Amino acid sequence: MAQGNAIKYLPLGGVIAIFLAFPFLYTNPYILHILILCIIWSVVASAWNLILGYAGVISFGQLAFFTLGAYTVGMLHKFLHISPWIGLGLAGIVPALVGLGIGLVCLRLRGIYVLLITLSLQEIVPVFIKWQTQYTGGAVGFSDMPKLAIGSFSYGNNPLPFYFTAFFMAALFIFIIHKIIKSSIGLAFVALRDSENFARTLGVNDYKYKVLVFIISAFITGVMGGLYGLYIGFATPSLCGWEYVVILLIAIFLGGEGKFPGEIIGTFFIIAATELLQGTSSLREAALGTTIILVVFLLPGGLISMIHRLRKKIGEGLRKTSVGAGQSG
Amino acid sequence: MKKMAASIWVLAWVLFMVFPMTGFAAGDKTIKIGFLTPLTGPFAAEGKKMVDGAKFAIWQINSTGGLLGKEVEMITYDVGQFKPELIMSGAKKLVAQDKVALMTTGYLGGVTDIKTMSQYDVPYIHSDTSHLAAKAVMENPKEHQHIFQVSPEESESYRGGLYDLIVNVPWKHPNKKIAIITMDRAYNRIILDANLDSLKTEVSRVSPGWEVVINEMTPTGATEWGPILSKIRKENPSVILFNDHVITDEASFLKQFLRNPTQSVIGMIYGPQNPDFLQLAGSDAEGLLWTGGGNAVSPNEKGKKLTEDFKKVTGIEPPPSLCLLVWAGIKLWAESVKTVGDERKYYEICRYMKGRVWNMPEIISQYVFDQHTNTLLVGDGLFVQALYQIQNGKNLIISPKVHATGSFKRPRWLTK
Repeated sequence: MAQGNAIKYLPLGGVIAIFLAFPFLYTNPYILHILILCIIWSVVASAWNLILGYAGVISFGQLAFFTLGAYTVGMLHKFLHISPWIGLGLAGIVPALVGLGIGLVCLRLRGIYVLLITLSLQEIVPVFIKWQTQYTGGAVGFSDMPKLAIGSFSYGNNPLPFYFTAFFMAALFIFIIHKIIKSSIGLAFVALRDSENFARTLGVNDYKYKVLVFIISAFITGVMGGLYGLYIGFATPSLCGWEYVVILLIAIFLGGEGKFPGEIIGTFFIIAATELLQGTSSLREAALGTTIILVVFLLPGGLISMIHRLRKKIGEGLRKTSVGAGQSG
Repeated sequence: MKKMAASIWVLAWVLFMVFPMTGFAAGDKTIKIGFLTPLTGPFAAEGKKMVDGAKFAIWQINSTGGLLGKEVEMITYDVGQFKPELIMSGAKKLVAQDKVALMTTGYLGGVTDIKTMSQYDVPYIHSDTSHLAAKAVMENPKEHQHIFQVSPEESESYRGGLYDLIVNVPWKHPNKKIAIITMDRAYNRIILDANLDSLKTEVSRVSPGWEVVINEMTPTGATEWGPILSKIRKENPSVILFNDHVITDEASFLKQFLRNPTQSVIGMIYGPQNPDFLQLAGSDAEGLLWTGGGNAVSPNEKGKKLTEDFKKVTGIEPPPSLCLLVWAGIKLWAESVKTVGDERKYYEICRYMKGRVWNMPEIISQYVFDQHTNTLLVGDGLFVQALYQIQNGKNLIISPKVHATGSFKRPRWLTK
């Protein structure tokens, strides 16, 4: 049993070990920078997938929460001198409160109506930022972001401490998301998604759960937005732009919608591919487009389904080998 | 089995995508220039012209024996719509990984790029035409001494937009109404503010009583102008300032305006310098006025040679604005490197570049940097900001008179 558990957690342990060792083996700041972006965006994609893929709520407000988080941490420091670490927590709370407000209003509605309300949030946030120029910097953006520090050690422009901060925060949030998916809430969502009427007859209160998950997702996204702002040193209304929405959606569908941790794999893939194909301009867009078409046609379950299949095959192969070895022995 | 085969195909494709040919980097025998530019999205057409300017400058250097005996090569990085993280990624890749000796661009907005490049000491030459970029250098010269703006601030460059259309255009305006359409980006908002300020001061001193009757903000990439044109047709302003430099926005506005034109002179900002604009707008562009940075080619022998060579390298005649700003930036950096004798002596290169009067006989402007902002000074005998008019498919300078290559012709939609 203990051996079984060890084998079960071996891939996860391997991934964590690689992430922890990577910056010491490979010190190129550009690669570290790309990894930081991958980590931040993969958590955002995961939080969005929780709503979109599991709860089945077609919400498009995620980037609004992210933007609010980035501005919150910067503005709290500039105007109230609040430490960026506390600011990071509040960067989650402000979007979570907005999420609560939106959730209470719109999650009783269905499909297109939720989409329209969350879309308007995505449109309202940049307008509000541009309007409040004296506080937010308006269309130019907000550049007075504080520098993160632990005691007398300032992060400065060094990507290494940011890398570990992003990694540990991501690990925490992904663990929370995983727990939600595996909990009764996650099961309730899957039941509602797969057979709504049947789930209701069993007494599943989707509204309560949806509001709760909406708040959690907004909180996580807001905190990651805050971290992004601190890392980039800048927040701009363009964070609410469609460019980001499209990339995140591609990442979710490429990885596997509603198939944790597919969206994380999808995000890493899409960001790494976008970077590595730099210099090929329009060829890059064509290559990414081709990938999406290939995945849709050949792997409707996303990249994660491919990994599951490979793992299954390897498992079967190992079992056959051990049975063969047992028989021969 | 079928599913397994599909998985392998996708995996093969994924590997092809994630591990592309990364070994392009040339050896130490070259000097690398990092070029951040938009090559996709709404600014792609502009970006390609920026690349043309850089390509030409590098061709000129390499065809005369290179720089310090080494060949110069350019590495481009696509920044799309200037997302801050992309600018940061580009800078990290080019400076930390590719070890470029110069970072340059046409424009990247003048805020994120300055903040990002302040982390390095590699010279960064841009033509953001940004007040904020100039301000950053002035407020913290130590951190920004290696950042140069080879254009004036937008608040100076395009401040004269309304003045030109009201005072410098020899046409009897039927009324004193103005319509301004501004793209909702920081850069264009600053241009709007500068023009509104100029209206209250310079313009009203010469011609008082003008009033802005339409002041609209539009998103980047707008192509449907019906609602704004309805307002324009209702108000019938005699001056329209189109403060949006994306060429598709400009061409679509012009085409839709001409379906039922009002008695208005239209002035745009530098987009029409891009030859692609003339292709998009076609004959509708005839008579259009636009303002742009005066890097127009001089009508002398050196200017003719530049035009000839530029055509040989890029296949087009040199556009008068952005393209040659990029060219000039690289050219003056190369001259400074030659003088200093080492492309890695950044401080000395920057000090030399800053202190000189850059007289380039091929173009009509002379480059002198403001010593506090590392930004070009604008005015007579310095960087020339010109008013152009498109006549017979060519961009002719109408103002200032000293550089004029033509005179104002009444656009065909103006009946009197």
